[in-house]
Amino acid sequence: MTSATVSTRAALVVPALLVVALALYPLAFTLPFPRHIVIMALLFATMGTAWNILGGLAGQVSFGHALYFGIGAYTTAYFYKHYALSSLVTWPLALAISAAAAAIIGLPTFRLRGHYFVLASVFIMQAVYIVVSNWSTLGAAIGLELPVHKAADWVDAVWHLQFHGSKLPFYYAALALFVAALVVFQWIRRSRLGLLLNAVREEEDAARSLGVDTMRYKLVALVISAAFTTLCGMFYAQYVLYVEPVSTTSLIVSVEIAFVAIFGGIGTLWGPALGAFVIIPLTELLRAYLSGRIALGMAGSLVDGGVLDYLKYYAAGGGGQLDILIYGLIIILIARFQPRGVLGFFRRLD
Amino acid sequence: MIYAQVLVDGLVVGLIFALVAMGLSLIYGVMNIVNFAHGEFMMLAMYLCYFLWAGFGLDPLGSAPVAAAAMFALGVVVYRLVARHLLESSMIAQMFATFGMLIFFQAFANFLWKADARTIPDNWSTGHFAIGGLFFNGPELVAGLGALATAGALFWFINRTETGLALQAVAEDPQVARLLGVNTDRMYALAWGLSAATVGVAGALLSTYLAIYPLVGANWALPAFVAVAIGGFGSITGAFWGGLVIGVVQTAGGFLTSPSYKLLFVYVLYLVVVFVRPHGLLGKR
Repeated sequence: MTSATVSTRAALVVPALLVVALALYPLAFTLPFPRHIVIMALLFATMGTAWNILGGLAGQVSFGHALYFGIGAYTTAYFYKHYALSSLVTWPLALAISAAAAAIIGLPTFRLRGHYFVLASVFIMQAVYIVVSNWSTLGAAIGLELPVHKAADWVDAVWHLQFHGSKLPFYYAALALFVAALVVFQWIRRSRLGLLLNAVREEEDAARSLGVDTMRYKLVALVISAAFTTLCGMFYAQYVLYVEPVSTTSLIVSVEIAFVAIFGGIGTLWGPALGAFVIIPLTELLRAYLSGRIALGMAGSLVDGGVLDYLKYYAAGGGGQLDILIYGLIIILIARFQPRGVLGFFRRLD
Repeated sequence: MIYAQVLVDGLVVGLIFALVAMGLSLIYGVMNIVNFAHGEFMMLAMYLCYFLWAGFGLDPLGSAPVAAAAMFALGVVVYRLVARHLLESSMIAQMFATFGMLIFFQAFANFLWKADARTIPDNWSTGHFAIGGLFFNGPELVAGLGALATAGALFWFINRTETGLALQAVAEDPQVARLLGVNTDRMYALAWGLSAATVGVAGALLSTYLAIYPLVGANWALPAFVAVAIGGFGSITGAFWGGLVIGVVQTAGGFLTSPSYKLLFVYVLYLVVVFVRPHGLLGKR
């Protein structure tokens, strides 16, 4: 047996084991909170992987992906609120809007390079945020609430995509999205499109001089990347049942999406998942712990007066944001010390 | 007459944008780094002025030199701890590092001082007056003129002093500057210090009439990037003119539609400028 076949076998067995472990996780952890954390991690792992198609494979760093998340979330919220149509029905519309937005934005901005491109994505994001948070049809700054539906039976529940007794259906939907994103990412990377995107990233001018239509491939990468992000937005709206601008179409959400990919390792298959499964549980647990909503069973021993009490007092007081402070610190530290991401250490895993 | 008023209002606020943009352009010109945390220096300077007013009764305009010195120090610290190590990094790492600082400083302010807006109710410049049919709000006019004076001082320093010329040499070609005996590391630190100090002065000037809250800086620094783009990335003079342009554009846009849409016009302007002239309206290359 050569080492090549061993590594090929490992490349299939390890991911398969990970997916099986993720599939079994909610059976071992039946409380809502541990399931919620992994649902959110899967959601961001999916979006990070989608971002990575454009940012990692094509080298086009976007700080505007929350736009596509918002398209999914708002389409779902609007049609469910007014017409009681869940994203089971409205997904083709959301994907069409997403692809149209990707084309409208991509055509002009993909002519830009480096800082100009990144800043264009920042300003488009800011402009969209201003429009959405003032647009009364979308509930302006307050947002849209999706009415809760008490399902008669499981057919009714699936039609409305509302499952309140258990988070299990949401969990497996998120897992399916994540696996689909991984498969598509890997398929693109191994395909001719992946080679062309690699050429766009490394030597765009050379590729163009050889007659490669770089604009076309960048657009294809963006449309696929945007489609997955839009699906995540639809999932989010059905799951949270509340959509507003700050948590959907803001610059900060865009950065969160991109950062899970950066944290794990830009352009790698498992990087965004690693990033999401470190960052999301960390911030979610910290937030929950600091706001005192769950007892981790160590509150008494960990916080024994002094500095920690002081910190906790401040953090619990409404505008606390200690979790965001630590999040900002992690971004700075990764960019400063490990700019190629955590997987930059372990290239073999990829 | 109403349009003359809009133009003048736009220019007065544009002077502040100009000062903020010059600091951004300084760092971009010298180090080729986009500093997303620029507005956070301004926000911290505003809080500093607030506490000096609340604790010691100092007029925020009197606190401006203190804010400048404090932000200069913070700028140098940020350079030493973070920015210095980004010189050889990829653009992505540089952008994430400064965006991480934006999140960090905003959360820091939120954590210590809460999200509630604070205001300094009045200072010596409070009041309204009219000149030839045009109305002026005292604090806004004083802030604009103060920004103009600070911008002039920065311009003088960069073009008329030996240190300023050395800074320009580093911006032009760090290797040649090093051969000529310029300590590039000190120049980079100076650029960060000056950039933070000037935006700190802008914060002190704005604290006389604006609400002070953790996210206030981003509303000034992000539009200021548009001014930098208009003026040509890295050009200090271009950033100044760009600041005046976006001041007028956002005031006119807000006047014609609604104030909540005023920054929309500035962001759209960026897109128009880079599509027409990818290196900025006044940019070369």
